[in-house]
Amino acid sequence: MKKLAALAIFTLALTGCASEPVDTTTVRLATHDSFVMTDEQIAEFEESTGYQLELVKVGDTGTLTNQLVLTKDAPFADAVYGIDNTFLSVAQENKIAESFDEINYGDVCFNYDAEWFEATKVTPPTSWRDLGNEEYKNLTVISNPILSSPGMAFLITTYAGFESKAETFAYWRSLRDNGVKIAPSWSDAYFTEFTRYGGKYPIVLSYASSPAAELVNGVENSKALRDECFRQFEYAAVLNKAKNPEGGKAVLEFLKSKSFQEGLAWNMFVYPSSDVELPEEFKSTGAPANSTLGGDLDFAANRDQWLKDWSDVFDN
Amino acid sequence: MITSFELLLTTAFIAVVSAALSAFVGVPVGFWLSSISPRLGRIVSAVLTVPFLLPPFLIGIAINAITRDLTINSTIGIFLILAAHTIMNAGFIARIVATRTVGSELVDAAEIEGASRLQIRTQIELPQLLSAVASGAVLVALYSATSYGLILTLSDGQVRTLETQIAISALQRLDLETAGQLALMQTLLSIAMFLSVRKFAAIDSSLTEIQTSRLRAGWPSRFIGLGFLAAVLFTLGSVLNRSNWGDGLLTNLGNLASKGTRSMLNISILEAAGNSLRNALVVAIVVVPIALFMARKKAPSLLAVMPAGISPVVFGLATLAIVGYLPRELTSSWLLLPLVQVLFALPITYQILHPARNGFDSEQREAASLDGANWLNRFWWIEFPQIRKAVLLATTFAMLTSLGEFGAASFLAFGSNETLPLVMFQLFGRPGGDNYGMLMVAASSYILLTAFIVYLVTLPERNRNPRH
Repeated sequence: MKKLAALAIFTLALTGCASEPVDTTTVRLATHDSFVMTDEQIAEFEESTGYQLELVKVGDTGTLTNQLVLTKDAPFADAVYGIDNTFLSVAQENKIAESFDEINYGDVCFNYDAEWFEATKVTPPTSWRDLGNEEYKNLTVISNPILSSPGMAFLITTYAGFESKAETFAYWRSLRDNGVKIAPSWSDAYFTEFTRYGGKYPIVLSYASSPAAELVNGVENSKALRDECFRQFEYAAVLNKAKNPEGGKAVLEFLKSKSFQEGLAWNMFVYPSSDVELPEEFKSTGAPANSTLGGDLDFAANRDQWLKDWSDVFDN
Repeated sequence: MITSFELLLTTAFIAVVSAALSAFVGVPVGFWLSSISPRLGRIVSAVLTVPFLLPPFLIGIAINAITRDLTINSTIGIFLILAAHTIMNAGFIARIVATRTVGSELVDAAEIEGASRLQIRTQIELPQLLSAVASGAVLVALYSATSYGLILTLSDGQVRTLETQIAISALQRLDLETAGQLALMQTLLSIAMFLSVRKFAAIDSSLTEIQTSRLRAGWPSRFIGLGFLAAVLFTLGSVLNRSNWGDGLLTNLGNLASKGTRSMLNISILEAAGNSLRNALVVAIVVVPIALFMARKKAPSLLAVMPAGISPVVFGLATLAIVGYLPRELTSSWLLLPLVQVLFALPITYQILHPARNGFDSEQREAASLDGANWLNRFWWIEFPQIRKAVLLATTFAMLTSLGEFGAASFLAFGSNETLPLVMFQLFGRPGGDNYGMLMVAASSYILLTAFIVYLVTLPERNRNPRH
């Protein structure tokens, strides 16, 4: 017992030394790995507010949300950007913030490598419903819905896109049997597995805007399947129990500002929620979806069951 | 769905088979080690000790460098994990064998009696070695049941163990109830292994010098010895070789100060190394006095070594669970992680310091005490000079433990506080662009640093104490 007491005193003494004054000049923004903000934007934020911005990237949207929930009593950031509508209910139920502001949206859909399809003379798919067909065997990569938000978005699309659960199951089994590759995250799927980045799969689950990134000298190297996509909204918030709530508010205001909103398309390939002009490329090659599906489903009530169903197909 | 019982079975299977393979390979390697010239033996055993001291996630990265192009399914995944555990731990078993060779008088006597070499091995040597090797093997099983980083890097998510599912349940499904249940199973499994080690003879420090045996190694021992040495050299060499990946060594070295392709990292490798070094210093400064204090008694303390039986992933989860009850200044500071890591460093530190503090003649201390010296004077002037080497060794090992710790860090370190293993793991997950080359340079530096430490630690003492 004496030993334990000595240990406890020692630890306490040490934590006593460690208590640093709350640092209010730095503001920390938790976000996902795909977050991009230019150096000019960071400088603009820092000059106009006097805060120093520290970005804390924490994996994909799901990981980001869950880490914030798990550490909500001692958050590692002051504000968050990048929780989407599929994870919003998790963030709200666990009260990591008082309110969430919509910053931008993006449309999750399949892209294909136009160059690859031209070279191989295979007819490109026209809808996600084609991907279980024989001619697309071993050609498709998606991201894991358990771990990534586009993966979840596509899972929702398939629940919204069929009359019965049996048909949804049948579709997923056809994808599985057709050799669909499941990557842990969107970045893995796009930047590692997609043929345009040296991978083996010419069809990738991505966004309607992604083809704008593959536009070289006016040539559209990839194309999006723009029908029946899932519209993903992204939110930002000041975290409850933030060390620097004032700084968090300043970040939130900046994310809604004209400067940040105008940069969204080229920085992150998403569409701004506020009324700012879209760049030309995002009106054509990287335009939003023609039609969307699944936005009206109850994610909070169904998410666990959807994921369990999905695991049943892919684990057995 | 995989049941928690299946997870327990997979974890136990990997642990037991890894231990058996390590013993199966390690024993003949040990015979071979003690039959070659002492000088060569020292160099070879130092090389074989490097993988044992590397963190599991780094062994995973090294093996993956060789097997990168394989498509991993669960069977291949388990096979790779077993191979990695063997490469990591068989050298440790070999050292146990080579430090306990049969005395040459006994061999002479047996030979005069007409015993063959095989008879001496099987009837005299093996029975003597059995308890030490069994004890070492159980430790290997324990390490293999808590090698979270290695499983993550080698199995591409295809092999699920208790540790990987604890992390998935907590971090990806927010299912703390399941995570807690799995953590309990993991702890029961590893504590059971840990307690069964305690029943066997205590293990000497694996860094004591190997001994030369009169007994020649047979061809199977030589074959396995050379083969194993080649496997270790090939594994480490393939990482060193790849530090030239992509745009070459110099570019990769320069990139260590960058945040990787598409700025994916929160901090550069160098900044992360700085954090890890800072954490390692804190761990050493805290743990060495605690271990010295606990080591003052002759009877070994179970409390001091108990954390060795608990998975870092479980510690990480437990810390997250209690974070709301701890002072805010601590939980939001980088200090939280090194303070948790103190627990992982305590067993090894204690095991080095306990024999050292109790091993020397206590007459001097008693004489000083009679002369009226207070405890501080007694400790500083009489005891410390005698245990200085052990303290240095313990400090080194405490720092190495913290430096390579992955499981708890993955729960507790974020953004600018991330540690070297975390940043290396992020690069591993996104190998495109400059990232893989950066990773290989960082991994090579880590291996060379470990090799250098092993070299220093196993250097023969120059002024050997003549007193016998």
